[in-house]
Amino acid sequence: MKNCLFIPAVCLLSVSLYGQEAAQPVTGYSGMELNYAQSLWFHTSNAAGIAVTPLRNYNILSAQYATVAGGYKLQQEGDRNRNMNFNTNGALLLGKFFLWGDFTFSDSHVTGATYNTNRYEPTSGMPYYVADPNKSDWKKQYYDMTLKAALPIWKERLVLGAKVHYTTKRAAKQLDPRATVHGYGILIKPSVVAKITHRHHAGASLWYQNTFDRNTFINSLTYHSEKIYIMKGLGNYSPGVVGGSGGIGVFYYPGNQYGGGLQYGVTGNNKALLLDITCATEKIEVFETPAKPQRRGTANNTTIAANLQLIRNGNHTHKITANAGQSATDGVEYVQEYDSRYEVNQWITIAEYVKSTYKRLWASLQYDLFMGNRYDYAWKAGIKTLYSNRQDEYLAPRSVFNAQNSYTELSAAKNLAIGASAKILFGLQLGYNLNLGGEYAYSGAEATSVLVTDFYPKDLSYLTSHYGKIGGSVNASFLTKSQSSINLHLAGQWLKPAGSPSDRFYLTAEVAYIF
Amino acid sequence: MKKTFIIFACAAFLAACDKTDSVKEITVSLQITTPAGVTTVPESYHVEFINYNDNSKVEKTAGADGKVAASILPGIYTISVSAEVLAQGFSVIYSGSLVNENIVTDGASYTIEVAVAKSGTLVFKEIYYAGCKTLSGTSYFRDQFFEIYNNSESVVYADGLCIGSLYTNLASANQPTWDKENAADYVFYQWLWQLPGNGTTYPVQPGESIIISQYATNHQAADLNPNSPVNLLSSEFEAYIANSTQHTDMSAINMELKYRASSYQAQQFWLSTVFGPALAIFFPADDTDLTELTTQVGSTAQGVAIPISLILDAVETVDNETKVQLKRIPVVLDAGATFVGATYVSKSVARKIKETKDGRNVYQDTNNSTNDFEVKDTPEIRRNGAGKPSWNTWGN
Repeated sequence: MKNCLFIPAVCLLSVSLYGQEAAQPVTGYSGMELNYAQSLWFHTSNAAGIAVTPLRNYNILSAQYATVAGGYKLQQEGDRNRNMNFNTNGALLLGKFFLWGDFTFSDSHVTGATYNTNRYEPTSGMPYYVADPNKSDWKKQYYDMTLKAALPIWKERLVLGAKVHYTTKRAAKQLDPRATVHGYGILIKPSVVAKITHRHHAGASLWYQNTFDRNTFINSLTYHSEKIYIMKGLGNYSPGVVGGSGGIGVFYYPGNQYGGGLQYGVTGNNKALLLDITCATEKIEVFETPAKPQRRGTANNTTIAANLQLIRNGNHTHKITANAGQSATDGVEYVQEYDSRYEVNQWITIAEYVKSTYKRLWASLQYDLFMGNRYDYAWKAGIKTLYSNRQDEYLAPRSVFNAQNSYTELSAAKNLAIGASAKILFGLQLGYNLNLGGEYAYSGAEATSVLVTDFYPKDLSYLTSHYGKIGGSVNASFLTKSQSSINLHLAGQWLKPAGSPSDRFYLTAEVAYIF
Repeated sequence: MKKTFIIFACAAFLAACDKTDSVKEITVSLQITTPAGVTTVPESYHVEFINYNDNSKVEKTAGADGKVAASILPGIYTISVSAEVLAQGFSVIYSGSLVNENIVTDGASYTIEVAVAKSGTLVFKEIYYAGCKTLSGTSYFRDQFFEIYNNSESVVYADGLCIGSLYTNLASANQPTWDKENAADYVFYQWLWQLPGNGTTYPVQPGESIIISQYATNHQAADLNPNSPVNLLSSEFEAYIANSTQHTDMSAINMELKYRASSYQAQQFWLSTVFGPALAIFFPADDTDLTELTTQVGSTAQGVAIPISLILDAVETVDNETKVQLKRIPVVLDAGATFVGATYVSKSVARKIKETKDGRNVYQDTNNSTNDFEVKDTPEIRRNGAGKPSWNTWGN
């Protein structure tokens, strides 16, 4: 019901956009892409900044079918995923208020996923979850709603803004041991931008995010207990079962994140530079059985990231984007004993220790050239390179999982006008991942478990392979009237690792109405 | 802007302050002692530090002085000590444990006083508690049986032997508190049965078994469950409840029902939980009152308190490996637990053979069912050629 409340708001926003900037409507994917590329502040953590580099007004309503298939994947991903996504979003200058809103509904069916019993997003990095080796299907749904708003500029100096983001999700594993997943997340991110001089702006943002996941376990064969692994990281686990008298209880994951960002922007003649530095700390605790909480672990994460954008507009638009960051997670485990005294009957925490650490480092550099005019392009060319380094360690007994990669991609797109009321956008991407090393070493008590002999080695193989990627897309836009278009979009990608028979296909088909 | 920066810096500072120490190994020492009056001390003890949460086990050997040190990670441990000495033709078992001990302090020291006892005379040899499925897939639990074996070199009379299941019905961290002085010296029965006899009616020779069945019938009969793994017509004893509409009184000798908890009053059969009961046998002492009840603190549940010192043998069966540390039976009686792992799977747990003497099997009895028992895919009475008492004239 909550979700339904937001939909009219987004639709209202979308409808009211129409005609706000009639002189330069966004009428296709290429125009949309350039619109976003030029709005530097939109890509920062500062919503107030959309008043400095506003998006041109637009609305889009789209339905998308996406399918992924192939064996080149992480074990917790499906052999095949099929998604139906419905999205509407739009930007609006409403009087002196700058608004942007987005609503997405996604329904997906995952086939053949392993080593995940209870996580909606098993590859998110949370070390404390439940796993089983049974290859299972999943059904998933999520709703995602975002609103960014910037107030009118106050005394030509200050802009206040805020971003609100709400997600809700649910999922169900389709084979014993089963689990149902329900979760939500809400983010509130107030921000401010100050105009220092005509060319210089400084901004700051703060945010708080609250998340909650609740997982309930069940077997369809009620007399049979299914073995599970209560994961602690890198192949270490506590044994457990779903079903029977000793079956695992409800898992829940309350999380709180606090963050902040500082921005500095400089604009010149057709040039602009914007730096955004953010820092966030997040704590997600994992408990079992709400009525008698037993701690299953805590993930304490600190992420620091920097984003630099440079843009030059003219006959052509040049844009350089650089990102760098580090995410460090401490996995905390607890020594607990059950106090069975009648008046207590609770788990008591005796001690807590950091038993594992998970570090991610990344840096990327991207250059895009848009050849055309300020509002749409005829040609586009781009190059990006991404370095990533994963360093996971279980402190005692010591185990490690490392993977280091460098990925480079070239892209190009050509926009062809077909008469006065249609155009076709062709896109091509070529990428190559160069693995720079990686290892998995386990020295715990269960060296023969499938986690150690199957799960982690296969994930290591995936994360430490050289692979090539080729992708293509075609988008046909048909102008229905001067300020709206119907778009048909088809895109595909193929990933092929070196020295492996497996591969991975991605196919997306979408119909969108931009108005 | 300045304020924003200060708030941001404070938040980062607070986050940095919330720091938990990284785990490191700690060293603990253990002193093993024997009860006063025990003069024979083993040359060595086998010591295990078991952390069930991590599946980790550190094994050590302590010398005759009983001292040993170990480097372990902080956690909840069960420390198990065992030794065996052969003396005058029989085994003397030294065993002791600390269960669910939180060990988080470097340099901490612990003391375990081992109990010293002759290896059991009557022991549980095979236990079939899990039940099975019928041909139509429904659950069947009437074919449960408990086989008790004379593991000694002397005849034992089963007359007056008591058998039953202890609280709690299921293995659980949530154990009751009993309103009894020195409650830790007792076990508390929720079901209690006693074999009849005048003291010499039911001799059990060395190497012979008696079968105690929930229902001593041929469970493989067409009108019961052809899928059952057992025919229990040759059982020596059964748990027949008078006027039961569920069971027919069979040829096996009826045990006397001494106590059943109030929650089972309406039940017309003795169902030991298919998830794994805690079982114990004993001969009552002259002054043992099997009708005296003890009440749980904060509850109306009652049980029959029996001193640990009377218990001949006890076996902790649990759901699966996740429940091994959730002890119902005191560790001095059973330092471990055994399990078939699932319900209605037609499996049993059976004691391992330690040795064969003059054609008679001697079964392993270290008071640790984790080590002493193994899972059998098909339950079987009198496995490995165990003898049938001569007074059982109905079982062919």
